Amino acid sequence: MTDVVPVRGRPARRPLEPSPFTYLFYPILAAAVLMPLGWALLGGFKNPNELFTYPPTLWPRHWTIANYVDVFVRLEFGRYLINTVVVALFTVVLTLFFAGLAAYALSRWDFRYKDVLLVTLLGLQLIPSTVNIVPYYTIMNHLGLLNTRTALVLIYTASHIPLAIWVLKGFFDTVPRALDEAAQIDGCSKWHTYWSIIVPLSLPGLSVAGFLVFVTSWSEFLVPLVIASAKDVAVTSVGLFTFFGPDAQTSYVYLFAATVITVAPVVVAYLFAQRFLISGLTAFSDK
Amino acid sequence: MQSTAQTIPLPSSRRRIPRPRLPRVNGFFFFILPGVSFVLSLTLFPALYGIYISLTNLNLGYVGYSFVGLENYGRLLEWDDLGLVTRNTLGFVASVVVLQVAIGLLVSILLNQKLVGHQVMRSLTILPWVLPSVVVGLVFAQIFGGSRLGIANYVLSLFGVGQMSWLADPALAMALLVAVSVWRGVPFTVIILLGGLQTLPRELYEAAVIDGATAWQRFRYVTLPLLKPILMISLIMGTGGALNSLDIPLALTGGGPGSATELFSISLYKQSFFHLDISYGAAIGTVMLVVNLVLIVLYLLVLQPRRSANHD
Repeated sequence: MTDVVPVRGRPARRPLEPSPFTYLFYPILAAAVLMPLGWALLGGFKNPNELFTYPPTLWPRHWTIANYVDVFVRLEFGRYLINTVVVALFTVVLTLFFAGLAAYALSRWDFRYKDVLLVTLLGLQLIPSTVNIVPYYTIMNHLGLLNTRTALVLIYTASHIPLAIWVLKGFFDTVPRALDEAAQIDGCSKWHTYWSIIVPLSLPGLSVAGFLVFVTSWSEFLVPLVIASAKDVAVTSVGLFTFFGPDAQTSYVYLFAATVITVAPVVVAYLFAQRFLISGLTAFSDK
Repeated sequence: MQSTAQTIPLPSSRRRIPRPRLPRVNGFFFFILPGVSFVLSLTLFPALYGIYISLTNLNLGYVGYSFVGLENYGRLLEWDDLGLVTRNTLGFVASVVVLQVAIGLLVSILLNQKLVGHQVMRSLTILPWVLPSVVVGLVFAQIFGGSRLGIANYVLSLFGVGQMSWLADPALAMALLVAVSVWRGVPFTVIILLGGLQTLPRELYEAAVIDGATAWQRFRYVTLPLLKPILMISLIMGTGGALNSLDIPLALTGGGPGSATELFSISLYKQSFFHLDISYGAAIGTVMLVVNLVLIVLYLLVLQPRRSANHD
């Protein structure tokens, strides 16, 4: 880390010693995040009667996985999960493919308006899906792609490419150009150079972008709600909303179990790759 | 266009290796074009197409449509709830942004202190960012409005606070919507601000301490000015995020009770896909697009000087 800065002068009053008062805030912060999550997590293991008892219990009296079984058997949540995984994975692959090529070109070639292009891409990325949802619906209707996972993959890919380009270009910039030049002297085309030299050397960068795209695709809600809400193509966020939204009829006893199932993959991905995710996110403000 | 592949250092042009493949000058074109056209066709094109739809009377309940000019915008101006929804949206966006950036700044300064355990706290604080916001909305709806009005009321009753019907009371519902949006939004602000804090030069703080500056003075006269561009970024992104937010409002209150928490984003969705009046929804979308474009330009303006400064 960069915090090893030699302190000159008076070592007795070393400036910027972290204040132990900060610890006072730790429990508040932890409680703010963990209380709602813990309630949901534990609620998933209670039996339905216990959820309705008063006063409520925090710790389940009788642990049961019946809710999880029911979420899969009665709500057929497995299908929603598979749809979400399929859409997210295809989005990651397509995004990395297109963004990687463009980022490589933007990293290695210089041409007029290159900065304009990079900035424009960043701006386009910020056009929200809320604004575009009506045209998305009409476009996918014209293309006959309503209620298909393809439509979701296309829309997610387009909206993730700019961020992926920014992240990947940052990584490609750190791969020495000498390698490209050596490969070209050996007769490699740019295309071959990219695939056989740059891609293998940029696997960390590709993972950063890939994780970021995966996590955000997983959470998408409005686009799948409008474009693909039919039962056989719906993703978990849409499934949860149709089962447990304000107008839904399903008893909420399954909500917590379904929530845990929906959230677990991204939370696990986050715990393993938080450095990746966060370094990718700062591309928004850092470049 | 100049040839840019001249970077290969070769002793003399006679020994240049012939490359019969793609012409060098335009090579980048084939790398960039697929990605960029993909992006344009599903970001910029829909935005423009949305403007076109807003000028028609397209309705999902009828076949065919015709061009009606600004009629949908006229209806928007005569809309009974326009004042209410405008007030709701402005109040919601302003409260969310102010709270999100204020809390985010406080939390990121706390987490920037390298105490034992700060890494664990950082992971924990940022965790809500990965949770799908619709899930967040649904779980909080249950916590504040489930059986016997939810666990939250039980916890409050332990502190002597009476039962409150959070989701049935207009003011409480709005407050709750703001609070839950902030809960979900703070982590992203923290990520951005922590990134900024870590770039601040330590020497300045050491100099400030030697000059006898108090912690508050260090914050006010060193941190804040240096962090200003990043604070601007998080303000702008927070504004956009709140304005366009639909997941949490839809899952938590659905605009209710009545229209007490109805925002422009919810109206857009309901008009388009409940009342099937999709061209009217597109008109609301176009108004939102204009606001978003202002935000995007501001964002790029804040970012731009930093970029060129980095390149010099």
